[in-house]
Amino acid sequence: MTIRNNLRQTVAGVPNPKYDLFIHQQTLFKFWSFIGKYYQGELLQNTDLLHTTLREFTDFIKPRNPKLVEGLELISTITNSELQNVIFDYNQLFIGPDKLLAPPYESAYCSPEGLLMQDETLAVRSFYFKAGLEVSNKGQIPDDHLGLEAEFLAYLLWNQRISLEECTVGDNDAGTFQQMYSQFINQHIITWIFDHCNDVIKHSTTNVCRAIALIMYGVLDLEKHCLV
Amino acid sequence: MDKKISFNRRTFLKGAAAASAGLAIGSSTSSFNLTGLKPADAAGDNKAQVFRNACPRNCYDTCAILSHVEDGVIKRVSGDPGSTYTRGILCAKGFSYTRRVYSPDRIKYPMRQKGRGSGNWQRISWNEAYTEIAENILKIKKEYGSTLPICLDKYSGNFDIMHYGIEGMMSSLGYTSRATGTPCWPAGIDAQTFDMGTIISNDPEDLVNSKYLILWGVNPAWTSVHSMYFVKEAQEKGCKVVVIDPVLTQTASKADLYLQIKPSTDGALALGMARYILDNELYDGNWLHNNAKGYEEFFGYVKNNITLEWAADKTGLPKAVIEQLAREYATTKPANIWIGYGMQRHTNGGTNVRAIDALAAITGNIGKSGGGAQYAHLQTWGFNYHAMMQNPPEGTEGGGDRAINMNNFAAEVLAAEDPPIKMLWLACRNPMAQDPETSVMRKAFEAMDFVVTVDQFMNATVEMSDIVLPTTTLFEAPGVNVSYWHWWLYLNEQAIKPMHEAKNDITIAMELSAKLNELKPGSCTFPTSGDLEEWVGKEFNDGIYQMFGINHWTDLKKGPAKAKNSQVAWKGGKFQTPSDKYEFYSEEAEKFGHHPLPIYVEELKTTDKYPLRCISPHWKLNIHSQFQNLDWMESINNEPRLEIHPSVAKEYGIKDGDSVKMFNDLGYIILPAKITGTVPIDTVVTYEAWYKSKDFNVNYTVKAIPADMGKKATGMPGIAFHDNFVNIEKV
Repeated sequence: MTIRNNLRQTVAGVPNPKYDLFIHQQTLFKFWSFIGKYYQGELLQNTDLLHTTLREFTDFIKPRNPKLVEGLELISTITNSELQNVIFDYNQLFIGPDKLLAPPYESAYCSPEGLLMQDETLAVRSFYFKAGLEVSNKGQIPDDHLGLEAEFLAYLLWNQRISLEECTVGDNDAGTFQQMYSQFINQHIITWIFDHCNDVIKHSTTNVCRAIALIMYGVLDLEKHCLV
Repeated sequence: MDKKISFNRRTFLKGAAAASAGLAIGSSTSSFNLTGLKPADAAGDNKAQVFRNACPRNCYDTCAILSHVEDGVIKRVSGDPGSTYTRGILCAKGFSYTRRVYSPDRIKYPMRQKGRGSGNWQRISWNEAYTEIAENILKIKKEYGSTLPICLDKYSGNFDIMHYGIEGMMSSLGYTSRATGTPCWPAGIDAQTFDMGTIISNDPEDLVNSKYLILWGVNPAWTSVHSMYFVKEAQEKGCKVVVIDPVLTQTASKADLYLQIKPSTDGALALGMARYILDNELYDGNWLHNNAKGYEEFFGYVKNNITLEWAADKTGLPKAVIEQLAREYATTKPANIWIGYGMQRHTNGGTNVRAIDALAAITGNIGKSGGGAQYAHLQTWGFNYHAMMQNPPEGTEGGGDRAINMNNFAAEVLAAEDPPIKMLWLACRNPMAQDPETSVMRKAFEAMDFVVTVDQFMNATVEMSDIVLPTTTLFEAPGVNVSYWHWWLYLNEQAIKPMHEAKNDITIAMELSAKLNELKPGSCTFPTSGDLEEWVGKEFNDGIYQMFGINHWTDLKKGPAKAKNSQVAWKGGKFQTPSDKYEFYSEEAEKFGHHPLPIYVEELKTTDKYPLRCISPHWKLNIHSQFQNLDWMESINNEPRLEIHPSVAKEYGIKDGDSVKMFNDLGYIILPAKITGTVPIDTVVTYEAWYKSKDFNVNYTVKAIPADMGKKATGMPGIAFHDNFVNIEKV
């Protein structure tokens, strides 16, 4: 497969800024894909695969801040016993049936009464719609569930990559997806993700869930500085 | 894991080199694999809609609700002005419904606990849940040759008519064990059944016509807020309102006269009044002659056994007060008495109600607008109970369901033999919190092989379950509701889709039936599919249509309907007793082991060891264990209190806010004290409530003492909740 000029690390001997962007986006894509699957409940049935996937984080995420350092270190300490119990930890944090220790919903953190299906949820629904998407179980699963928001971000990054690759212009160009990505992160992630991660870090009973929260915190901490 | 979006590790090694090896994702024409999202349809349903709903809680008021929906989300609820009882207003709990539907803490998915009581929950699919449940049912059937080891405990968590489909689900399995009876009100029901043949009360909107109203052991300012409008209207038209209650309640604060009676002595007051009425010939001899049986025997009993001095001594009320009350009650027309359920939760509760009924009868107030002895009615409940009436599978052996006393549930579950009880199904009920003798209940749960609970929020019963199934709120499925107090009929429309994976109890029954029949054809007769609205329609019959003057149940989509001819109970004096008359002297009562007349039965007394009585009445911010668990309610009131009279507090050296241990030989609770003169001396009060994050339950100290009556009309005697004797100490 030929590498197009816009994706080469250097072009005519000069470092290609688009390349750094490309690598950065790939890292984020991998990260958000993981978060999407994790919060949608996948990866929990096969804890070996979960463990492997987590260990891969150290390959593509550089420990640039204390939270990332701590999170990546924690991954290496995960025991088999913790992996066996991760499902109980995960459910206590995110699923139920008891009071959620870290509800994975934007409106639970941002709305005045901490409920689901609030203005934030509908704003997210509008945002998805602008991008031509909607929740499969619309009206039943809140649109601002972190699993869905992460899937959306991964979707935007995927499309951005395609555009970068194909060097398209217009509605489908990388710039549009970049813009949507930044807007969504600013409006719908930064507003609550740190409190959510802190809740996980505080209440988690396994280093699995805690490590993921630390990494997410660390990634978003970097992201919020990068975004315009 | 989806291969389409998996990345080759090599692509992302730190350092640049590997990256130039290319993208291992696949060709750029491959598309992102969406899982939770999908391409959007055309612009969705944003239109604002208003739906009709009805509150299915165990409450006098059963409100007509309007739910305001936009973008498929309930924005707010309001009362339906189309009902002249609801009058467009809800109570604090009703207004909090959106916080219940959209709580992040709602049970969202079927879950399985690994080790009952462990707190280790796994999420399972509905299919997995049905499979495990069906396998357990079939295993029991095979081992015992019957489904009697399966026991249903279901009651008042949801009184929407469709929820009788839960009993139907049980019936469709075979013969099962059933929690039978009712903890709330059976003593009073029997009393009115012996006296009049059944419970029928006036339309509460008729309260405005009373000129004298006694609210006897009832606190409508907290438990029937809509009635207070009519009480106030009556007051403004010159009605004198008297509240008789051991506790100075919010209702009492609005009365013209408040009488703080000693708990459980209400019959003595009524009989004392009857003596005065007899002596002063203030009774309606004409009415008695035409409509009553046994009034001479009753008068004989009163004359020979009751004195005002005795009544004053028993009740703690001055003789002059009793005399005045009797005179005013007997001479003001029409005079009304509202008998509360709290009042009959004593060992002599039933006979006390009979004595109060007798007052209404001897003064000729029964069958009159603005008069009578109001308790409850079930006249508007004549549905088909189609969902409930299911047949056992072909080849089922045995004589019928086995009755387990709901009011002594745990003990009877443990004692059941031939066959034992091995599986519990809990719906619309929370026995681990609600029932007396919590430790015995825990033992009963621990003895089970399998426990399934259907609910909306975590509670003590869910904690002790193997599987919990998330169920719909009133807004998420259709239904139909009536009340045991007012005479309205409300359709409940589906306003929104069920949140998360919640399912209505009838849907659960249908799908479980499908699974059972898949595993073993013919093992369950419950229909395996059907439209819920059609199920609602099947509950209606000509009787209901005539009573409410509607042509078809779909008419109710346009608005609520009220029973025609509902105004006054027992108008014309045609009672439903064996004699067709009001029976002071009841052979039926005798058959059930009671004295045939409404005599005074001695109240239970405190002991030296436990010299204080504990009353646990209903709280304004919850319905039993519902609502208090919401964050919003917790922010208003997050703490139980033990209300203690100042002189008792002084004796025990307890100050306001001190931590107090209330105990007896059954158990104890520890809670802060509230010193108040609103409670009687020698009685402490703590409201029946549960708090999400607290291990508080007054039932730790409550024994399953039976009330005197309840067996005739409801199958089991009631519970004397307020005959709980305790001691306290500062901790």
